[in-house]
Amino acid sequence: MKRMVGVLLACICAMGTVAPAAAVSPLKGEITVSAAASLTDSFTALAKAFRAANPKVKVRLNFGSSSTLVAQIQSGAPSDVIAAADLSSVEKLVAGGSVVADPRVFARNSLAIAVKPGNPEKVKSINDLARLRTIALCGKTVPCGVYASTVLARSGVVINESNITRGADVKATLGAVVTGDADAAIVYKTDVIAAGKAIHVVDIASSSNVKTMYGIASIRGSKNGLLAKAFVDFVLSEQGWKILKGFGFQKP
Amino acid sequence: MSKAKVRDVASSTPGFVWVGAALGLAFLLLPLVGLVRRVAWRGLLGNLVEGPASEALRLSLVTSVIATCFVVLLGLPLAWVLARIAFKGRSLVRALVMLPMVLPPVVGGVALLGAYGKSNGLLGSTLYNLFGLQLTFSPLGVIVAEAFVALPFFVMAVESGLRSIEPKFEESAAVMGLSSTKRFSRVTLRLLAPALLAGTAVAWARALGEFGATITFAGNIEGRTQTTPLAVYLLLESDPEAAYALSLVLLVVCVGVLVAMRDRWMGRRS
Amino acid sequence: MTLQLDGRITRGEFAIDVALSIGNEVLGITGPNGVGKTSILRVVAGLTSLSAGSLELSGVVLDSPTQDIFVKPEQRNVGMMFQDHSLLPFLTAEENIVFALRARGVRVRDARAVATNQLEAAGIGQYRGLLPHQLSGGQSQRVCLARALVGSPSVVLLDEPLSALDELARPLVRTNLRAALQQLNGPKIIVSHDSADIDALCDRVIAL
Repeated sequence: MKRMVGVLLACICAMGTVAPAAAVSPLKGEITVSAAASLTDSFTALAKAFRAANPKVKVRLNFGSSSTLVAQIQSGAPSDVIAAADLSSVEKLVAGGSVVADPRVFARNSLAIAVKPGNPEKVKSINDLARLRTIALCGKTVPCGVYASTVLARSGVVINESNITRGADVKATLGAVVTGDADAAIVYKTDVIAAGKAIHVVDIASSSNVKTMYGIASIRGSKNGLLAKAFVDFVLSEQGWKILKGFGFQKP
Repeated sequence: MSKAKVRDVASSTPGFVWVGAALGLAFLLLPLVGLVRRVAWRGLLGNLVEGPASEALRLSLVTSVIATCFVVLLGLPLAWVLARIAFKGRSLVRALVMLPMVLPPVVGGVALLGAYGKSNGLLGSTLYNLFGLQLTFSPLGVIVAEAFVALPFFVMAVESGLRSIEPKFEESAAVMGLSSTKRFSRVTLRLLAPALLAGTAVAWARALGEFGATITFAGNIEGRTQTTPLAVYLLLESDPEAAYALSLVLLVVCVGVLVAMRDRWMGRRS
Repeated sequence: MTLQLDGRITRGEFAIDVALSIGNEVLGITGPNGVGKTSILRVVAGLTSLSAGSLELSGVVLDSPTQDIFVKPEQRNVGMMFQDHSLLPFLTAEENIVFALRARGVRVRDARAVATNQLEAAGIGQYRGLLPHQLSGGQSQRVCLARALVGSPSVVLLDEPLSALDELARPLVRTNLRAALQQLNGPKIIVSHDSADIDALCDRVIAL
């Protein structure tokens, strides 16, 4: 509850700061944003909108699995903002002292099953996955892989490890169904929406599904802390939320 | 007694060549040293013997050896045709055979999907519909991917070896009374032995190290298609010590192969 | 046994017409480089074919383009010594001779005995366990020569057999070779630049 109030306050403040900031002193410079693979389309759009509002700004996007991004930052990769698919990834950075302030939740997501167009294996629910030959999941330590394990456990479905092909991030995992021969993949709802006609969606019952939380934070030691904060605020703003909603994310 | 230094114009080396060579060597050796530094020697054996690391090592060993056998069986006749039979378009065929060597491995993997993918591969869908055989996400698929990238290396070494065999040996054997099969087994193969060995060794090392085509075509299934390079990639985040340990194993194997070949793959006779 | 060669040998742009008839004798062929001496030997051995005419040995046609007959080299029972020494590099001197004998069906034990004898008789017995790259030019040439003469060939072809030998060794080898050739029945051809060799070894000479 406290968190919800905090986020709400942050949003109100952000709404107040973005517009005047653009009018008072133009932001300029360059920042690198490390974002989870599932944020590929949405953050590309967010960066574009941010740039439209601040023409002198350049936003470099670095996509990958949240666990990889955290490892990169811990080894000193020069990133200014981290947007991860779960909070525990960002918590690792908090514990290490790499982030400026506590992470803010800016979106939520849930999982869905992607199968080949036309659903040739006739998958109706998560229970059908046990009989398929090859399921694509994210790596065991990647957030979407952890979430998938949770969902499978909640549904009481056990899949043999020898039938699971692990992707390095959620886009690679989805790719195994889209271009490869995997029979099904468990990915985020936003990813199946983005894939459109390339796949057929099978929903996961909300009783066993998860509501994932995306966290965003500025990174300590950024060369352009002001710009980084401005971007974070933008993502948390009403305008930012509109863009995220358009891609199928759920309200934080 | 001091030996007088004999000056030899042909072997004198300009100064900048020494500098360039030293820089080049440092450029290559530094990462190797960096890798070895990261290995946790105390838990090394433990890391390798248990869990996904040992599975990956076992799988890599089995698939790379089978893939190499496959490469030799197909590569030898291919090298023969390229070396000995002059036909129209031979240069083009040779270029195509060498293609997997310069193609980015992931692109190779995508190409393999296009040919052998169950869903809509050229041959793959037929294989699946007729025999229920699925290469993707299977150890057989790993072997196919490894053989695909390793074949050009073998063919190159063996074709070059065949071309360097002077006709006089086989001619002399023919005059002595040996049929073409006997000439091949008793003379040609024995003359070809160093090139065959070098080609096999290089092909095996390449198969062992294959990543991009394997992960794209055969996927990443622990125990079934997660070869050592794939395991290193994934373990790097979850268990870095195991990743470094596996990397060390691959490094030692490759160094071993190169040392054992002792410049033979450069074409120098022992 | 008579060797009858009457035809044309074509090698790319170059062609020569040859007419030879050789009985149980040693024929010498001399001439400048590139004129086709080695080509004649290659045709008789079956390593190349005639473009016209015919080659017969004791009435048996070995090569005739018009009749579409060509007997492969492995079926011709020819003993040949190449100009550029073709000892197999992975066998010792003795093993090289054994190899030639075994190719003709001689058993291993007998082959080894013959090989040793031949090398001893040629005065190079002490080199029998050496590999070709360990032999000098003259030594390996003498091994090649010994190898060409074993196994009772019907026809003997020698291409510059003594070219790598120094002046000291030549007389001895010439004498031995003359004796060995006398003992073999059948047509024998020697190609050589050296007039002393030709005089010592050949019954008659052709200059191309």
